[in-house]
Amino acid sequence: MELNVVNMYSHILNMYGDRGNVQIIKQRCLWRGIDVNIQNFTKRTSTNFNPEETDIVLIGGGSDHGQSLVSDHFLKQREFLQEYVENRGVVLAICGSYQLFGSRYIDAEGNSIPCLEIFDVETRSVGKPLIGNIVLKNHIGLNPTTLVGFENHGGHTYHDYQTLGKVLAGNGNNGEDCEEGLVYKNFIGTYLHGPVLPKNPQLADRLILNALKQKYGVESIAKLNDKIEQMAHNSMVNRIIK
Amino acid sequence: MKNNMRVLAGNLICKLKENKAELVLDENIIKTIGENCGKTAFVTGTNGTTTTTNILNHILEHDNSVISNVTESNMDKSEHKTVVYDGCAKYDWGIFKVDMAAMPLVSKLINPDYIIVTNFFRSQLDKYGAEEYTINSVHESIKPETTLILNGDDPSTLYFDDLNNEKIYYSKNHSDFSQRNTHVEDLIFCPKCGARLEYEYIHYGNIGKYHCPNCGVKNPISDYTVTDVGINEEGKFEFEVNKKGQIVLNLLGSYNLYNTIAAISLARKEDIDCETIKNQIEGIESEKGRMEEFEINGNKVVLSISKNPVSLTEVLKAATLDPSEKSLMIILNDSEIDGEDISWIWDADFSDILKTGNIDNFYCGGSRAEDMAIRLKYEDFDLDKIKLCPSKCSMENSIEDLLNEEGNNSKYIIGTQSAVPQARKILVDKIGDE
Repeated sequence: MELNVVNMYSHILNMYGDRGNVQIIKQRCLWRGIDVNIQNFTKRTSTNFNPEETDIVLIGGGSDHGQSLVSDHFLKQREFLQEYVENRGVVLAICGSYQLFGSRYIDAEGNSIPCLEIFDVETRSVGKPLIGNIVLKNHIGLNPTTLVGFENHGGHTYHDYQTLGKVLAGNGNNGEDCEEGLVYKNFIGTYLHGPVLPKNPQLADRLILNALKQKYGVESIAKLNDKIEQMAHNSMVNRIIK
Repeated sequence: MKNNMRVLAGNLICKLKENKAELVLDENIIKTIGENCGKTAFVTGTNGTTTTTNILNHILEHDNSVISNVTESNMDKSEHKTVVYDGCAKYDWGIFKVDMAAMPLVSKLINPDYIIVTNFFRSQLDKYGAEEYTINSVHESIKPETTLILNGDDPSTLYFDDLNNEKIYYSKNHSDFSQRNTHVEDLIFCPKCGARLEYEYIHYGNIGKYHCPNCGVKNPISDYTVTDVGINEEGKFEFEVNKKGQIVLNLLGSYNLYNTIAAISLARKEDIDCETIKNQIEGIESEKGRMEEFEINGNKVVLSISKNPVSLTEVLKAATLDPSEKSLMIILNDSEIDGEDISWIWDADFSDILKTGNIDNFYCGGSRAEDMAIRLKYEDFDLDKIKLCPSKCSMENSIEDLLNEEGNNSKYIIGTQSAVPQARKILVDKIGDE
């Protein structure tokens, strides 16, 4: 088996160790004997995003400046990305890119930043930045049920889709409704970085399994020894919740 | 005249709290300090500001009285110390390390003759934000009469092109330690047009000889350049400046050549003669907690601070170049002064060090020890060689395990900001015991 992982604009949007998410997917596949083909999708990529040949999309947050650098190129991929998402393509979009999949982003000066408009999601840059460690209780059936990460976002996000989890400690989408992230089919948008996958291997495996399901009809994947990962996870849960 | 009345302070000028720079001292005291100095220089940037400030102190204090907020005692206690200052004393020079985020605040109180900028990298994002913010903070703080001493090999320097200030550029020529590519890629896009920069060679991070294939900008012409870099029989760097006269540097880590040339640039601008500069630099011993060497039980123990991807990559590179059998320890803390966000460890390059084949064990300690262990695991590093000292374990016990390990004669201890002073105290006590 082989998975094609598209790492979008990694040199520009890799800000919060997003490279780590790529590394986790790659190694957890290789340890299971699944080949991984990592493709960097950049501004210099001459062809458009290809939904047919993609199994997992990973896309990081980046700074405001970084997002402005990719914006034009990214927006041109809209129809291809929408087709991919609707056909249950696997996506993990972190922070700024999670925002850009939405319909509107209003910056601190009240300007509307162009977005992909794939989801009816509005983000407003208001109030103080939401920064710090965060713990969720996930809504998508992962075990362990908690997800841990670090958030650092000026935008407050509002939507009516299913969320990734309930905020047990931290801020989440907007610091008001105790909900975090967005889940639609196999798309996950989240403010959790850290990066998120190293300390939440159950989430990494969900992405891998969903991709294998789509491509090969696989129903389960082998368990790995996650002792260190669970220690890191539990250490933060215990520290932050208790 | 040598004057030891230096300010006993770490970050005297400011501290960062909840994304805001705060003055540690009363504004009037800072103003008075500035007024009592004949000339003043600020040293700011992401990495190397402490070392550059110290080197500059060493050079200037040969013939001047110097007051500075960075001293050799810096690592003994907290970075945020109380200042001991004689308000009546006059000094020839005031040399101040100023946090990037605090530059706007401090520049209102002291009008420096010089500002040395070391570099700009991504660092402690939860405290500083993206690099663009810190560059902007420094840029907005600069007054027209200040002479800028800028790293000509850092593309971020181009952000200062619009200023009419007198500018002095320093750089480093290609050497055996230069690379073709880099894994750590901060600010690799042209500050002028946004295109991706191309490099002839890279020294570290994004520092090197670059040009923009789109708009054509390239490194400015350098005034002071490190040339003819080599390593002598004692393993020390030797180099020349503008191909004139050899200088030996007792500091490990090739990035220290940049810190040195930055300080030399100011000294040469002030007409300090080359012989004095050479002698003062060669008299510098390794700094406390910055690639500082100890000898314990007949083994070499190297202690170094690291707090962002570029500095960790460079410290690991220095350890990689050490051919001896070794064990390493990284103490990763996430207190307020370390930065609570530890995502940066994923952007440091571990690939070379983990492939060297002469590592016995890699210890992971500190409040985020487990995160570091995961980092190594996912480089596919041998699990049996990852020694996890869980966050609840004491640093004393962890370091003791490392020091007592037999079979190797080099030990590296790399720690974040809050970890290094504690680790250093343990090592110093150990020497005392002997």
